[in-house]
Amino acid sequence: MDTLTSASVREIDLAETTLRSLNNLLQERPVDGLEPLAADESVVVRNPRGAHAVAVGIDQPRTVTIDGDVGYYAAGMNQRADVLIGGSAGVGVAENMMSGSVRVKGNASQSAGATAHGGFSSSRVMPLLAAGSP
Amino acid sequence: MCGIVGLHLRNPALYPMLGELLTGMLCEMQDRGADSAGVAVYGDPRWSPPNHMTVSFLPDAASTQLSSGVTEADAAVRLSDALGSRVDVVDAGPTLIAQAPTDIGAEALRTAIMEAFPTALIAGFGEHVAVLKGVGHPRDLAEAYGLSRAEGWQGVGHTRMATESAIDASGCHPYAVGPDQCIVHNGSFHNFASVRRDLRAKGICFASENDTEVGAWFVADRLAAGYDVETALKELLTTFDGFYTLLVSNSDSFAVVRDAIACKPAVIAEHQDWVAMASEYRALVHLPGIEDAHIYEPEPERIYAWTR
Repeated sequence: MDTLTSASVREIDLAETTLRSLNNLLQERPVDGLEPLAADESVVVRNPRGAHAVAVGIDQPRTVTIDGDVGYYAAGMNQRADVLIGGSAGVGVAENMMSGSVRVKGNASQSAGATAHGGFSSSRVMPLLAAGSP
Repeated sequence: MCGIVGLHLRNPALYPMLGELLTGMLCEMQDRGADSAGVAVYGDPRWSPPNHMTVSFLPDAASTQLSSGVTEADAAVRLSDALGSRVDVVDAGPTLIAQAPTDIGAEALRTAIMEAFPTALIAGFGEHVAVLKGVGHPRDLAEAYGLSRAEGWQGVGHTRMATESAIDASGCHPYAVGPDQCIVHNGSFHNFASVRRDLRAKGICFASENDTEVGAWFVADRLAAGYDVETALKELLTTFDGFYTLLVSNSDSFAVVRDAIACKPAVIAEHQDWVAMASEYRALVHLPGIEDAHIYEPEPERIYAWTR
């Protein structure tokens, strides 16, 4: 694969692609109708519309940009990936991170970065409350 | 779990879209509870015609069907006979809405309903609100109510995952025990039996075993004593123990309050044309102009209220 292709950006529109397909792709599982991601191919996710569990369980050095707001548990269990959330995040963003980074441009709800073992997370406003259940 | 939603419209141009917007919000919250779903709609001209008192009721409280099983015409005849003057009835799936001129009063209309339908459940009453309850999947119930065609200035809804009481119509929110008032609740009150004992001692009769009904009667009792909504909710905060996010509405106001721990979710979106509240942000994404709205999570023990 040539450099131009491998350094490209893959756009995934959640208005057309299911959340399960997106997460399978990011977790390097086979997905019908989608080519596997190249080693350094970055991903942009459109139309998250507050969906839960967007971009969870990644274990690759990859850049994932989410164009909008997400629901609960976004970018959970992250290892090595750099995830940028353009909007706000609901409960439990970046839970149980092992390495990599999760940045939220907007606000983050309760339990942000809970039980992290490594990595880096940040947001504009994080609540004082650390505990809570959805 | 349970899901709650509410929409308070500031721009009258949106009134015809209330039902459609509320249906989208309610159905998006069906994953939080699909045992039953109820709504309260303020200002629908067919359900709450001007100069009329209305009482929303289910003819048989034990029914879990999507239809009441009683026709509008049959119910109108039975209620008119019981009241001794004309009553109109509008069908809204499992719930029927009885309508009589305002001067008849809610009490006389409720008495006529219980005489004509001794096993009825009264869902709510007032000059401006229709309260629709039923058992089943939120999407099926929204269809049975005809919710998407409703109009008005304000609506609230609840999708239920039963915890404190049985899955039947009496456990379905909203609880609407005072005129044009209603309350929907995500969470659980822990000391509701103690508070209910105090309210029973004042002569209040409860229609269910549900914890939220106790909260509704508590608020109604304080409002009847002359409190405003904010003062009543301040007292609720100090009286009730538990986890809760509450949406409390009446004919001109809309208020949100969370307990001190605030672990039950809530998102508020404020736009120049509307104020909306939901358990989760995804229930709000279809509202017109959401990208320009101020979106935030309400703080613990702070009362957020908006008035028409």
